[in-house]
Amino acid sequence: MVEPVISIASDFSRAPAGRYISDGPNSGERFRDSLLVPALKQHDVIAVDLDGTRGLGSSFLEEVFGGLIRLGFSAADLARRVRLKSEDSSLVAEVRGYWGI
Amino acid sequence: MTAPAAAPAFAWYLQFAFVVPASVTVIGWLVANNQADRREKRKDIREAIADLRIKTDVVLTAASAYWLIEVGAKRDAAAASLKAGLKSLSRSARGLKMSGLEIETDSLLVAIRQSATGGPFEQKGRKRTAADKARMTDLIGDVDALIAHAEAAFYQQFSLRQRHWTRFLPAALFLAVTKDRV
Repeated sequence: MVEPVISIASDFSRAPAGRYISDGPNSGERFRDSLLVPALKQHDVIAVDLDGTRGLGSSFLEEVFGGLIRLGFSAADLARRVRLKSEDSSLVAEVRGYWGI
Repeated sequence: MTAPAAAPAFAWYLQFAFVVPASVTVIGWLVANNQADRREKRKDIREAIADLRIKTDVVLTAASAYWLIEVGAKRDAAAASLKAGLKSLSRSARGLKMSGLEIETDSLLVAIRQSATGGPFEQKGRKRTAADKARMTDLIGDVDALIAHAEAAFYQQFSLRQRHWTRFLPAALFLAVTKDRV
């Protein structure tokens, strides 16, 4: 079965910016809480496409993916359930770094 | 009537004498072709490293504008420019690998991205602090590490020791074949 794909660029914003909701409408916290966490509750395995944006800041990435750990997801669980898709392997490496793997 | 002159006696193997110069020509062509390919590859990688330097300069300029200079709407523009610059830097590093340099840049790019856009990056109403200068120092160090790593990988792959001996091969073969005829 093919896992559902959440694209940051097409499902959220081409210009994601900031960490918290107070930083703006395209923040990492909003992406995590409105798209990523509901998808993880609904599906066993999901894919997140990191390409297509005008650039991703570490503050955004940390809040999205590091924030999942703070919400109680385990690193091993996330590694199994979230497939990261990007042409830029350093983005994938950074996210995995937030999970400590 | 006179008898026809006897055919001159040749050693049988002389009929294959053409093989030696032909082989020298083919080997020389292969070596020259290989050297030309290597030279082109070296040139491509030098250009890719020069491009990487330009991209790192763009990132440093945008980062200093965001963290140290601009305020308000101009700071937002600097943030967008910084993220675009980092994206472009990652693309340039990928280009370096595609041009044939054996190098691993992911961890260095992560460090650069985290220094440039980590912590309170794009935080609304953020005030400038002393930590911003320390962040810029870290970023300059990370950028320097990336360039140094690329340069080291380049000189390791294209060191003089590795590339000098084959250039003499065609001439050596030629001399070996012709020395008895001169």
